[in-house]
Amino acid sequence: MSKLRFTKDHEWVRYDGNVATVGITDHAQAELGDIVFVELPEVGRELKAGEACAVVESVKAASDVYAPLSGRVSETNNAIVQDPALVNRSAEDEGWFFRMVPTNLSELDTLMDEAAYRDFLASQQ
Amino acid sequence: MALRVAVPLLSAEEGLHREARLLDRVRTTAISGGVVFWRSQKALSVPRVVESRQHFGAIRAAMAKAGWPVVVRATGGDVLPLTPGLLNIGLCFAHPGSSAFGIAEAYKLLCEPLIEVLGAWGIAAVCGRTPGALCDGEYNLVVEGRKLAGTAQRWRHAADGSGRMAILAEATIFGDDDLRVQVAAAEKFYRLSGMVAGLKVDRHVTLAELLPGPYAELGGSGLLEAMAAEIAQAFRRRFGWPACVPSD
Repeated sequence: MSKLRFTKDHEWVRYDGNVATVGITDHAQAELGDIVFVELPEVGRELKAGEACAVVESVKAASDVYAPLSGRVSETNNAIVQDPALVNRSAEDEGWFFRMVPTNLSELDTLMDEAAYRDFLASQQ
Repeated sequence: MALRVAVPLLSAEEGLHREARLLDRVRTTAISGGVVFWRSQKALSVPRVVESRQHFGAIRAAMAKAGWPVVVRATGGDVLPLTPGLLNIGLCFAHPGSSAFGIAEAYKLLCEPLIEVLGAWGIAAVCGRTPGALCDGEYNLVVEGRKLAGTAQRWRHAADGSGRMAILAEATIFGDDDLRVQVAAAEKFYRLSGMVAGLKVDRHVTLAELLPGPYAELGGSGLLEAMAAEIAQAFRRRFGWPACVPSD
């Protein structure tokens, strides 16, 4: 069964089987505006939860993307490198950034579920 | 006592490096912010997206041969020719981090003090787009439909894991530049990249044009230093920093 979780930094992570897929939330893409460039971590890189591992650049600003979990990068989404606007069009689905094999699944429990993330966004307004 | 602010003439790499270093200080220490002012030797500043384009290496070499070494910056935006006549402002500040504080709010923190200072000099500037201008964006400072300054941002997390954000907000004000030269340099870059720029010189304006009296009296760099001193005061009033402007 898959688990969808969110960070306060507006990344999402979907854990399904042994792999976690990571991206930025729809809120984050809307805030950035037109995304023009994405730099992804190398496959095989070992990440620690909270570590800056990718860069996203829009017409307004550039920002880091952080690893929601510790683990090893197993795959990156070349489609968003070729077409960064895919992140704007489909941030929480086709616009995923990378996949990783988590090394500490208990970290998932420190993240927010979808309802908690929506509440978090509402509380910040 | 009037605040004196150094506006050193640096290579573009060194100027961008000083901004990055200040951002890193804000990110890794308890200091709440600071600002660096600098002027740049001739260079073409481009965002990372440009670096990823095909034939970038060859285009970079051609531009360097034409007297425009290309530097890659960490903020977004588009191609911007840098010259000693520009005032570069690197404002760094920390924010506790909340969804209600975003890119637009950070631009306000940068632009409102600049608009206030320009207003005191009799220049009515607003934020807005200027189609046909270099590195056009939503948060240009515009005077009567002409671009006087451009802006960009870089966001990073504080290193302490608190969720605090460290933000670099850059502005570049046209001082006494020959904008025809800058526009020609950017057009050359776009042409080599196989792109059409559609730039228009008359969509830009300089401080020298808007303030002919002070420009005649102070000269180009003197005017930029006077402007920088007032901008530093305005940031201090806004952010409440101690009476220092970090510089190297």
